[in-house]
Formats: sequence, C-alpha cells, structure tokens
Amino acid sequence: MVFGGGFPRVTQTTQRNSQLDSIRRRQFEVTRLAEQLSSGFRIQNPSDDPVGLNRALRLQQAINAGEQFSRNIQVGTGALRQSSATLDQINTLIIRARAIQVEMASDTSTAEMREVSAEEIDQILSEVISLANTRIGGKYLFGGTETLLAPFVETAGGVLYQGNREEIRIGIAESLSTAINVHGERAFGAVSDEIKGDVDLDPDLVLETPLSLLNGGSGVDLGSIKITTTVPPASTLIDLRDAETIGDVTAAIADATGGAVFAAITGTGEALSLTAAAGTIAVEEVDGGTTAADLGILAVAPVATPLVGTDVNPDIGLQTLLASTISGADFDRTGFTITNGTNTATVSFAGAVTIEDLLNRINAADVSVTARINDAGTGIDLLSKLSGTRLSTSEAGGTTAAALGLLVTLDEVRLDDLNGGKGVSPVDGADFTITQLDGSTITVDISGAKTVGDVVSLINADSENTAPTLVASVSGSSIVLTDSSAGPGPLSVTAKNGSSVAAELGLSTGSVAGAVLTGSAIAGAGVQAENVFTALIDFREALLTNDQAAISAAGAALDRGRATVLQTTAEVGAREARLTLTDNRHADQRLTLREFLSDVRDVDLAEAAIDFQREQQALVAALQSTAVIFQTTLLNFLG
Amino acid sequence: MGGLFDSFKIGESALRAQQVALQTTGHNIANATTEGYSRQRVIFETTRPQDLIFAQLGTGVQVAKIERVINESLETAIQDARSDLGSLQVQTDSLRQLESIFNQFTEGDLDTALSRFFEALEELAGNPEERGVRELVLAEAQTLTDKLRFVGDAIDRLREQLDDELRSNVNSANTILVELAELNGEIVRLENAGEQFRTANDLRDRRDFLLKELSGSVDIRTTEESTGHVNVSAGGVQLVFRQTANLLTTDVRADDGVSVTDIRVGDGALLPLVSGELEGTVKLRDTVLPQFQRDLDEFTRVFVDEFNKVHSTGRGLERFTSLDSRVAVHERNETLVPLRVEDTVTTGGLTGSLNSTGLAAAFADDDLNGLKLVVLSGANAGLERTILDFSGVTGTVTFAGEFPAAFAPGDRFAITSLDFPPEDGSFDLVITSQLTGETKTFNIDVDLDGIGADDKLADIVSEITAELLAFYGAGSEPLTASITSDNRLRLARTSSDFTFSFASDTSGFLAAMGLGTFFAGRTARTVGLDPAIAGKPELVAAAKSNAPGDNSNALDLIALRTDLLFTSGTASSEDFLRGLIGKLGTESREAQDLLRNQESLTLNLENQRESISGVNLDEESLNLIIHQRAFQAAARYISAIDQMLQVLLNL
Repeated sequence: MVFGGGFPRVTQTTQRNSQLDSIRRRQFEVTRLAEQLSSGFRIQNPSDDPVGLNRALRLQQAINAGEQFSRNIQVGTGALRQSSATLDQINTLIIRARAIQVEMASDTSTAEMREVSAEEIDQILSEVISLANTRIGGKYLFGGTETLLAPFVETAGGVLYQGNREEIRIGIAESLSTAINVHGERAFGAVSDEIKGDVDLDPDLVLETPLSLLNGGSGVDLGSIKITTTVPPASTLIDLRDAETIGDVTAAIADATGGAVFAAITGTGEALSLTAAAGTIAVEEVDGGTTAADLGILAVAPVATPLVGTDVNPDIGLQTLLASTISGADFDRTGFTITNGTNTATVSFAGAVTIEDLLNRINAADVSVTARINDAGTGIDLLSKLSGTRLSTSEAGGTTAAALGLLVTLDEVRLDDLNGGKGVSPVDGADFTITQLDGSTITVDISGAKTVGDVVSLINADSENTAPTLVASVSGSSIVLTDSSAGPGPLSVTAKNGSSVAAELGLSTGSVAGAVLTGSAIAGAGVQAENVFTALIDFREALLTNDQAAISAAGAALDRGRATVLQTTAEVGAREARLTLTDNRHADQRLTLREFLSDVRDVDLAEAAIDFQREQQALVAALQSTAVIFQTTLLNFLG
Repeated sequence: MGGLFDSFKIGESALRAQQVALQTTGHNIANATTEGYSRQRVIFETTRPQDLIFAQLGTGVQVAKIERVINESLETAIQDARSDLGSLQVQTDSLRQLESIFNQFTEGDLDTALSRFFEALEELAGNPEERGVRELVLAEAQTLTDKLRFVGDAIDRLREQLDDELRSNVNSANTILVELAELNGEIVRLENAGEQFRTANDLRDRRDFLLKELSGSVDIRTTEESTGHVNVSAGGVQLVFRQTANLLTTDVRADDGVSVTDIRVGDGALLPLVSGELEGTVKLRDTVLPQFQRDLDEFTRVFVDEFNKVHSTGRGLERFTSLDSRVAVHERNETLVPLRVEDTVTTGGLTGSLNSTGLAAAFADDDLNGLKLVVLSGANAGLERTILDFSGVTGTVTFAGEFPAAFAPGDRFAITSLDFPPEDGSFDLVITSQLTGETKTFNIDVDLDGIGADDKLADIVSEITAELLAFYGAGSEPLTASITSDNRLRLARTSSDFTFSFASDTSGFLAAMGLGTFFAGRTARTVGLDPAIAGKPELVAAAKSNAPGDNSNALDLIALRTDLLFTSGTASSEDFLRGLIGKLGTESREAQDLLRNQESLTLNLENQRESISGVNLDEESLNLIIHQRAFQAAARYISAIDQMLQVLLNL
C-alpha cells in the first residue's frame, strides 16, 4: 500500500491536462479581448451577448430610420426652399408690374407710352412663366406629380397649366409624412374657379356599387349582422367582413339564410330591402358594430316583411354607371357646349357608360378644360386650365348641362363676370334707387354683393322695402322687378352718384307704367382663372387697346394674383420651418440613441485594456509555471 | 530444516519476482503517455512455507498477480460525461458556424441588406423619375435576395455537412463495435486459458478505451458478465452482446431538399438517441437548423407576398404592353379548379376532412395533385404544402413534407394553384391611351366567396374579354386576355396606341398570379427578382397614376418596413429578423456555456481517473530503485549462500 498523505496522486498527464486547460482558457480570453480592442465592439457574434445584441440591433434600426428621415427631410427642404425662392422672385416681378400699372393708369399716360409698357409687361409675363417652370434636379417644381412636363406653357389663348393637383409626399418621421411640393393650382391659382355641378347626381344602388361610396363616401363599417325571422323562425349571423359591394351583401344574406331572406335593392334604388316568406324581420348589430345601420337596414324591433331600409346615399365614383344617376332617371346624353376663350367644343355623352367615361370625354375635348368629381362626391365640376380666358357652358340643344348642374344661371353669375368679363363699377354710397308705384323709394348699394343673386336678395331684404311690396327676381337672362304697392306710379330705377351699375345690371334708368319692370338681357362671361397670368395678360391687352378702365381694373387683379403667391410663400416657409424642426428632433434623438448603442455594443476601452493586461499576465504566469513543473522530476536527482 | 540448496531457491524466487516487478515498472514507464492505459502493479506473496517441528520456515516470494489500478465506477461516469460532451461539442461547433453564416455585425448581414433595400426605396420615393434610382432599387433587391438565398443554401449545406459527419461517425462506431466484440472473445479466452485466472490487463484497458470512445458518439450503457464479457446497449437496444456486434445501418431519405441519413440497428428499428455526438448531430440537423430554415422561409414568404401585393397594384414609369403571368395554374385542371378552394377540417385528421363531401364531390381523385394546401387557422396556420397525391375515394392525401402539428376539427385550409390563395374581391385593369393619355378603368370581380360557383382563371379571362368588348365594341378591343398553352394568363395589347396597368387589388389575385410582381420565389432558397422586372427598372411601380412624379406606391412599399406583418401581426420585418438573430445568439450562447461546464466536469473526472490509474514517473523511478536494490540484495544473498557452500566444499 502506498500512502499519499491524503493528497491525490498527481501524474504527469494530470499536470499536462490542467496546465493545457488553463493555458487554453487564457489564450482564448486574450484573443477575445484583443479582438474587442481592435474592433471596438463588445459584441462580435450574436452569442457573445444575445440580450445586448437584441438591444443593439433595435437601437441601430432606430438610428437608421432616423437617418433616413433626415435624408428625406433634406430632399424636402431643398425642394421647398427652391419653391419659396422662386415665388419670391415672382412676387418681385408682380410688384414691378403693379408699379407700371399705377403709372399707366394715370391720365397723363399716352397710348404710345402704354404700348411701350405693354412690351415690358409681356417680358414680365414670360419671366413669370419661366420662373413657374423652375426645375430642381430635372423635375418641375410646380406641376404636381407631372414632374417631367413644363407645367405652364404660353399658347395662343393664354397660359395653359399642364400639371395636376397631386401632392408629392415623403416620410419625415414615424407614420408622419409631408408634402414637399406646391402644385400650380395652389401656388398660383393656375386653374379657374369651378363651374360647379350643383345638381346632386344621387346615383341609384346597383349590385356593383362599392360599399365604400355609401353614406356620402364614409362607407360601411364592416362587421357581422344578425337577421331574425318569424317565418321560418330562425336567427342567422351574417359575416360581411369581406363584403365589398352591394352585390356581396345581398349574396351573403341569401346564402347565410339559405334563401329564407331575400335581399334586394328597392324600386327607388336608394335602399336595400329584405323580404321573408311571411311574418316579421329584425336586423341587429353584432358586437356593437354599425354595419346594419350603415347599410340602412337596422331594425331592432321586428317589422313586418318586407323590411325596407333607409336611403344609403351613395357618392358617385369613377365606375358609377351614368344610367344609375339622378335617382335612376339618367340624363339627356346630347351633351353640352364648352367655350373656353376662343375654343369651343361640343361634348356628346352618347355611348358613355360610367362617370369615368364622362370625365374622359370632357377632358379629351381639347378646350383646356378639366372635369372632376367634386369634393362632396355628389356631382361634376368643370375647371379651366387656361389662364387669360373665360370658361362657360351652354346647352347643345338638349338639357344635359342643366341636368348635371353645369349651366350657369343668371343668379349664380358673379358681378365681376358680367358684361364680357368687365364686371360692374359700383361707387361709394348708393348706386341706384327704385321708386315704387306708391312713390316710396328703395336705395340700393351693391357693395358687398358678389353675384347677381346677391343683388336680388339685397333689394328684397332692403329695410325700405316694407311688407315687402317690391319683389326682385331673376328670369332667364334678366332681372325682373314686380311692384305690389298700390299707387299711380310709375315704377322706375334711377342711377345715383354717377354709378353705372343700374345700366350694367340691365335696369337702365327708366320707368314703366305697369307693376312689372323687366330689365334688359345681361349675361355672365363665364369663369376664369384668377391669377397672376390672367392679370398680366389682361393688363397687357388693356395697355395695347389703351383701355383706361381696364388698365385701372388691372391693379386689383395683380394684387389678387400677388396675394395668392404671397400666401403660398408663407405656407411653404412654414412647412420648411416645420421640416427643420423635425430634423433637429431627429438629430437630438440620434445623439441619445447613439449613446445608448455605444453603451450596449461598444467596448469600454479602459476596462478592456486592463482586462487584456491582466489576462496576458495570467497567461505568462501559466506558461512559466508549466515550464517549471515539467522540468522538475526525480530523474534529475538520481545518480 | 532445508539444506543450502533450498536457500538458493529463496534467492532465486526473489530475483525472479523483482525482475517481474522491474519489468512491470518498465511497462508502466513505457506506457506513461498511452491513452487509456492504467498503471499496473505487481502483487507479491510469500511462497508456501516449510513446516518445521518448531516453526514454519519461509521459502521465498512469488508473484500473486499483476493488476490494473482502476476504479470501475469512475470509468462509467466518464463514459456518460463523454456522451454529453460529444453532443454539446457538435451543437456548439455548428451553431458557431451558423453564426458566421449570418455574418452579423458586418456589411454583409441580412438586416443591413434589408435596410439598404428600404433606403433605396426611399430614394425612389424622392426621385421616382430617375432611372438610376430605380436601378439602385433593383440592385439592392438583388443583394437582399442573394443574401437570403446564401443563408438558406448555407443552412442546407450545414445540414449536409452534419449528415456526412454522421455517416462517418456511424462508420467509426461500427469499427469500435466489431473490435469490442472481438476483444470480449480474446479477454475471456486469455483470462480462462491457464489453470489459474489471469487478468488480461492490456486488453481490458483497450476495451475500456474503446467504450469511452464509443460513448462520445452514442450514449451507451455497459454491463460486465462474470465471464468477463462486456455487453453494450444504447437506449435499450443491444449493440454488443458477448462476442456479437449488432452493427448500425444507415438509410438515406430526402428532407426539404437535403438528403438525410437515419441510423438504424440491425433489425431495422431507429437507434434511440439520448446523448452523444450522433444525438447532437441529429438534433441540429433535424430540429435546430430546420427551425431556422423555416423561420427564414416564413420571413421570405410573408415579405415577398406582402411586397408583391403592394407592388402589383402600382405603376412604373412605363406601363405594360403585354404580360404573361409568372405563375401558371395547375396544368390539367385550369378550367376545373377554382383559384381558391376553402374547407374546414371536420375530423381530427386532415385525411378525413379532405374526403368531406365538399371536396370529394367537387373533384376527381387527382384533380388536386400538384396544388398547394395552405392552412389558414389552427396549429399549422400559415404553413403550406404541395399535395402529392389526393384520392377523393379513399380520402387519403400525401404532401411533400409533413405538417409539424396535428390538425384539429375546425382548422380552415385553402387549396390553390397560385402563389398563395387569393381572396374574394376585385382588381382594376386600367387602360391608357398612348395618344391622349386618357385612362379607362375596368373593375374585374374575383368571385371566391364560396357562394355559388367560384371563379376559375377561365372566368377571369371571360370577364376581362366581356368588359372590353362591351365598352370598345367587337374588333376594337385594345387588349386581349387569354390562357397560354402552359396555363398562364396572357394579356396582350392589340394596338400600339394602348398600354395597360393594374390598380386597387382587394383579392390578391395579381400578386398570387405573379402579374406585375417584384419578387419571385417564396422560400429563402428560391427567392429572387421577378424575371419580368429584372433589368427593367422602368417597371418598378413607384406610382399609382401615370404621372412620373407620383411616388404614392413607393410610400406604400416603404410602409412595409414598419408594418406589423409577422407573427400574427405583432412584429415588423426588422423585428422578425432581429428575433431570428437573437434566437441564434441565445441558443449558441447556451450551448457554449453548457459545453464549458461539461468540459470542466469531464476534465475533473479524467483527473480523478488519472490520480488513480495514471502513471507517475517519479513514483515509477522510485519503484525502479527499490526493485533494483531488492534484486541486488537477492543476488548478494545468493552470493552469500554460495560462499557458505564453498566453505563446506573446501572442508
């Protein structure tokens, strides 16, 4: 027996294994720390620190996103800054034109002087157009998304806007985007006021009607509904979550109830109806939804079959069938005539099936007119893309324009558009008086009135028009005054303060013996694009024709054009400022995130260096002890 | 009292015994570094004494036995530790390799590629008119798909590499098993050959060494019979019984595009694996790596599908003049099978449900073969498999690849021939006149609501044709729709005055058919750019209108970066990738930590064994001197007896 004094035997192999193990460990640590020190990163592989890795990646992703937003903002700021600078230059040009206008409006200016100025105005117009066609990086700034097409071109008729009214948006922060362009319509008022389709086309429901158009465009909150019938006694859940059209709804109801409930569009085409064999029908919401109510068929208390729903009032969409509009009455397809400046076109709608077709026909009519569905989704608006001309519509032998509400009636005509666009010339104070049959007078001051209809209302509501005994109205193209006061008369209209308004409204000063005074025919000249281009074109014409009144009027038009440009400049400036603010926020955030990331991912150099030093010393110690241990053996001391 | 000649015998026995001891010491020193060697020691005993009247007289020394110094229970503990060590070593190595495949924290990692792709899309949103930016988008998309394919392929390669290792491991295990059976025979024969039992020390050392080697590969249990046989079993299956080895066999099967080897024992049953290198290899090959592959595939599939859905409804700088769908409908039955068939599992097994009246009645036996079954709800939700064989008569169905979980009643599934099952809905076909720029929109209904007959591809073609005919009149249609001979949808313009594009698809039909899609291929290993868009940057759909500055579709594509598309709407694409890398890091870290512990444990056990069975050279040197001196003394004793004999002879 060999006694080891309670110590385990240590063999050369044990020594070898132990020494090797500790040397290997040290070497691994030294290598790892050296890698960390040279790369600067604490985490080299995902397994080095899986938790830290997750945080590091999350932070890195947040930093990347922020950097991208900043890059986007740079692009946006560049475009907006360029827009704002361009608008500034245009503003300066308008101020110059306005100065010429003041000078030329004076009585001392001669026809020759005005002709010379007309050339300068022409020059200014060209410069404004050139500026409005400014490009940045090859893309036009003011054409909406039509960035490769010069937005403004001077044609024989005026200045044509070729852009659209789309915004170009970019992401500037998490779920936040902003428009980085101002399209011509907004920046300059490049298109005219709309000839508003003021008839609600009120389309009937058809099976293809998308549910999203219902309820004035607010659509249907899709969920399930429950239909309960007494014959047969049954309660059915109908899942409408995937329904897209009215047809999907009726099919789903018929399918789920096994045909016991028949869903259809009512005869008036405005609502849905549910029919059972007999008895009553109740329709309830499921889980607090509003699906049944949105479909107009909510009936919590059972009603006798058939259940007739309420009007779900669909908007018109591009695919709305023309045949279903105007409560299914359709409209006369003869078409109408569009006049824009010297261009005239008669658009026929024969063969058109959908609203899209109708719009296409109008847009294709080569009169620089664009037609679109109005914002309310109820009708069609017409707009002129040409500055310097007037847009008007007239029937082409049928009733189409009236049916679509696109015929401008006299009461809608703006006073500015009367008399071939020259408008009326009100004076300070009363413009005219009306002497009634009983001798009482009504004094009319039209300042504040914008349309012919406003003037009619003014007369009817005048405080001197007691009872009222005088009724003004519009009939055809004339204003008609009807007097019910008893008296010898005559009924007459008298201009006051040298105002020409009465004449301009067709109520040429005069008198009639009877109770009805019918004015002479007046007409609007159509709508026009109220902008700097129109103002400059009109001013140039006025100078060339040496028309003193028109030259005077040009001042207000130029001011209006300038006001639009200034307003846009301010708006662009505000947007740019907001972008800069957002960018600063990103920069601040990035700084914080980078610090966090550095804490998680980066090596604490001092610590790592100390660790490295320590591990290296330990390695040296391990190597030295190994060398010593293996030199020591009994054999050295045996003879 | 014996004579002097007897005294010579004592000296002779001592010389002989010390010689044996010296030889054993020499053997020990010689094998000081032999792996698995346990030191031997000589046990001396006195020879039978001579009986005298007054006492017993010693007659010398003899060698009782030469024994191994060994602790048997320690040997078993080391075997177990070796098994666990083997399993962990394989796992650690492979997971580290997988980490280097993902190449995280470098410019070449997946999330950098994804991030770059989205950055290119942001550039596109800023400059949709520029061809250069569009080319950048395509290039970054190529990099992203290359990277996905690289990682997907590399995982396959890693699985193949593991399988190679597995096979060579099985071979060496078999060699060991054969040698063990032979050693059993030799040991028993040698130990029982003479009249006296002798321990076959060196052969036993060899056997113990082989058992330890084997336990690194397979988790074995050993029992020694009294005869000296050692029987070896793994998971209850005998591998060595006495002198018979039950060899391991391999058979190869295909799994998800990789050929994998199953290990069986002689009678054909699968070898049960609890621990050891084989277990570690199989676990990685069949569980860990496929899970990463599946995650990567899910990432690819969801990302590609969602991206395609948005892309297919946008418009490029140029519109289409003619277009064939990338996806073909099922070859034999394009007019029979609706674009989507939906059913519910009605019994526990999918087999029963496929035979439910709805499907079996609607389809002949093989109508569904080659179609894709997509599980919509339940434990397998989101997974899809191709139907290899469907029999409506017997209600049996086989898939390419098994579903990991069991189906339960109520699970919904859809069958389709397309990339993914489209929904009931509609899409817009927009025709642009190249002359006037005017657009005309046709809303094409995709009827898949399960009410009445659902749409087949032929129905969609008819609908397009009918709508065009109604509007443009016979012979003036700007576009024809047809099904090609290889069962693709073909849209082709009839006049150069027209181009076409798509919009607002609520059905997913366009993306599912591969019409105007951006990516093709829905697994990490197959993903790439749609061939129709590769090299055609002008087709990248940044817009939703014909205006070149329109970036609205690009913005929708960018939104996919943060949209919660993954893991039932809780994770974005970046979250998902981060989770994947995180999981890899955690698993690798865990394996490394376990391995380090196991290494310490094993080293500890080996040291214990060494402290008992190892050769200490100092100790042996000491023994050498002792036995040498004893030998010298014995010789001196003989010489003394000799002198005594001389004295007598000289009398």
